[in-house]
Amino acid sequence: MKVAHLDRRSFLKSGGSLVVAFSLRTVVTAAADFVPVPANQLDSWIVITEEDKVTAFTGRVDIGTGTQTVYCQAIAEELDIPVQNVSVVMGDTARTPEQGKSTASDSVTLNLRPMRQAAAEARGVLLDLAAEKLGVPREQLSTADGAAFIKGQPDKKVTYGALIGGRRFLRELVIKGEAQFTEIIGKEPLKRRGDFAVIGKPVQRVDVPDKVRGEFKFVHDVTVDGMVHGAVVLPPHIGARLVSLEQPRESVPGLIKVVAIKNFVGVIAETEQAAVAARNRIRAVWSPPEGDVLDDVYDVIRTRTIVKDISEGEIGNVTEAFKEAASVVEATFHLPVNCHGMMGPSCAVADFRGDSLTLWSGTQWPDGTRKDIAAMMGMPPEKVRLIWVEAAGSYGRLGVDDAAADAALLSREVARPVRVQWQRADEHSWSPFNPGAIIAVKAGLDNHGNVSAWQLDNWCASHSTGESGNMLAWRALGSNPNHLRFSGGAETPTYQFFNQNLTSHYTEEIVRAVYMRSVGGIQNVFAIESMMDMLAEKAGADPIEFRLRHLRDERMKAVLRATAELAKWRPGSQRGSSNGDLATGRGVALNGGARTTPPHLGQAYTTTIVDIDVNKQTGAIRVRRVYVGFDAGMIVNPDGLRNQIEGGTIMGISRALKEEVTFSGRSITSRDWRGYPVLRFTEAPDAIEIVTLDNDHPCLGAGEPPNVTPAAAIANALYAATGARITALPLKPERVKANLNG
Amino acid sequence: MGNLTITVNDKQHPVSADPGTPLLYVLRNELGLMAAKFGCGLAQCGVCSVLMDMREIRACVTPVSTVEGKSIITLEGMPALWSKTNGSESGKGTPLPLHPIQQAWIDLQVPQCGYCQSGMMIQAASLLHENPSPTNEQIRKAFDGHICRCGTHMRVMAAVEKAAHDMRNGG
Repeated sequence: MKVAHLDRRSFLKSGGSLVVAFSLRTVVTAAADFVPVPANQLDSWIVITEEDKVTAFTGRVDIGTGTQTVYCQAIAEELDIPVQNVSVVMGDTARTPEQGKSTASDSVTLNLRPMRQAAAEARGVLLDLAAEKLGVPREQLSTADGAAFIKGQPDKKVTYGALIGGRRFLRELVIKGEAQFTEIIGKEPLKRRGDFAVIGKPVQRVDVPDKVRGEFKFVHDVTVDGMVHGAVVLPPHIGARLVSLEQPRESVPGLIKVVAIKNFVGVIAETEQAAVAARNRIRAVWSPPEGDVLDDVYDVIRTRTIVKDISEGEIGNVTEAFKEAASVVEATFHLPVNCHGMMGPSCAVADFRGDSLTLWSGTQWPDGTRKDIAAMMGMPPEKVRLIWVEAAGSYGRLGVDDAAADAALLSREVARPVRVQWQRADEHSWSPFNPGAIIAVKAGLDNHGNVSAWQLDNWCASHSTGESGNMLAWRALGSNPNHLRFSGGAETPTYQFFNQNLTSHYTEEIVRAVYMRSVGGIQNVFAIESMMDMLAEKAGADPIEFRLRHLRDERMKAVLRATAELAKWRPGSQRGSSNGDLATGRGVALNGGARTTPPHLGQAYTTTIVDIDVNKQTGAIRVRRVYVGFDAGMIVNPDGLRNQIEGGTIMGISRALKEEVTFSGRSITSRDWRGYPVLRFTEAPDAIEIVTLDNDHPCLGAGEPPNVTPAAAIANALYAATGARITALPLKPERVKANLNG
Repeated sequence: MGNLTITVNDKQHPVSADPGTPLLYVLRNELGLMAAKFGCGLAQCGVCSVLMDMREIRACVTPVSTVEGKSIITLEGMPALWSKTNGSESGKGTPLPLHPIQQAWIDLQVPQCGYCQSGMMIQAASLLHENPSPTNEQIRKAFDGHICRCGTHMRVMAAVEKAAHDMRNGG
């Protein structure tokens, strides 16, 4: 029987005078398939119970930034019901409308309005029902606190639960676009900003209490009846093929099966500790390393074949402008490979049963992962259900869920639910990375000290080679498709240059890659904003005044000014002081406006100013104070926004000062937190001060932008403090010391 | 097959895992106490931290046999820990109030993804047990072995200071 058997609406009953006969998708066929949820039905988005509880459904997921709460606010706002009465089901492919990936900082930008519209449509139906029930025209009704009432007679009311609880809306919606661009074209108007009760207010995050009690269920905490434990055995170097496999030398009590399919090796055991023991004791022989050594990743970038040159934006005539320039400044910037470094290594559960598969996964792309795994397993997609469960913050890494693919393969081997937990070394060695880049910038100044020519070339491998079908397990099976999407190359500067040439030179893959929090943002902005400071100095101008001169976007200018004021920036003050071993300085960097790489929309406007001190003996940089200005358009949750700005700033400082994946031959050597150090509590700033500019512009996301600017700001501050212009990251002590003059 | 008994959140639990099994797996997979998490298995990150006799330990590298006879407290046990310390009782059937550390974590909206936060709150309990009035410098040092990738550092430090203040004033 083909039923919507995981139909979350199964508790709803038919009946009631206003509910017409069901013409539902209760089609009867041979097997239990997972039916996609129709986006053009209001019932797919909103359910209201007899107890006035609202559940909203969305294909978007929350990777820890608080978007779940934003959606609760959106629903509560348009439905006029308390936020506490609202919950959201996210990313379950059998229960939620398909809404693509949750990436690109667009979970609020793209999905706030659909959430609001769905709630508004529901309110419209409720008003119609109330009009009938109360015997007055709809125009005489209003809504508040989960009930419809007659205006002026608040006691003449009927609750939503009484009106619809337990029944369907049966309202068809007009849908435009698909995946993350899904829009609901609604009949009902949305509230005006002046009437907001919860949007724009500091509503506490709905998930925090459970997280603080220790009761919140992460994907790592999922247990399924009959579940056993799996682990993967990953090769020691990139490109290795499995030559032979022996059972563990000593027996591992609780070991159920060792699985080897082509280059995929996994173990299944009764307990988690037995799975880890088996993984550690398996004797796998792999083919020796072949191909280029990766110790100097920049050497590799320089020598790899270019697969595509893309002109990202040519304006005016750069060649002529350079000829006529009064002076020319050039610099080449080197950006290392970065690791997302999730706190919870990849983990997923799969239950292969009969001919269908259920996955519990923290993926950022539920439908993409579902389809990829179905294809990998040779199954029709309608036999696979993916239930998203929140993972640790993934910063893009879970654009591809390796553990889910591993678990699917292992579950099929034993016809039991299997939980796969990657070890820390697995995650640090084999998760897809943020690729390295070489960025060359050449700029010309005219006689007035204004930028007259700008040329930027970015050499990197695409930041997306690990996406769509490039799960590690699929690659190990040797049957994965290629993924040819180019991303992460040259970015449009925020400034308006009249002669400009930007080119991305995409090389072949060097390491499997997936976008990491801003994709090529940190890399490009490090180059752009370092160069702007170099040009400002050449032009004899203050770094902030120089930037203002070249900006046309009034919002960017406003943020820059507001941040300068917050930091009390005074021209010349960036040079700081020198006292014994310590030199101090301050630096600025900005970013915002258009991005070249779709599907990114306009970036939120950010300015970061840092005050640092530098130990001239050790080369150690300490970021003391940070000032961040931010324009994210209409602010939905002010505290949520501030939390993202703080968090992104910390990650940006960490990536600036400490982070680089290291290689030896074709192996990763940064295999744990010792090998890949990140910012510690003793290194966190003394203070992060924030000024947010609220306005009525459409929302812009804050997940990525704050982590983009710190690197350049720190490099600029370092120059101000010491005269050392460093054009490579990370700004670790050894590098700084080597660059300091006496 | 072991015949250990361990005391977790003031309750005795028989343990079926081998004595060398990391405490973390016993807590999570045998006792169903899921707040302590797996992060590295190398004692580098702190997401597995629990209290042993009021001191923070890394459950991922602690063999379960070594905690026999000790008192293990997990995040789930912190409300009861506070009630016991504070001498307060809640009405029958009503849930215990949160530990001031947990309340500070909510008031200041500390967690982002939240994966590391159990370990952070445990560290706070350990620190404040030893030093009820830590300076910011002392807080940083105490937390230096805890990693947070989402960057909640500033709020963690502020919440520890708030909890310290609240605990000194009886919650």
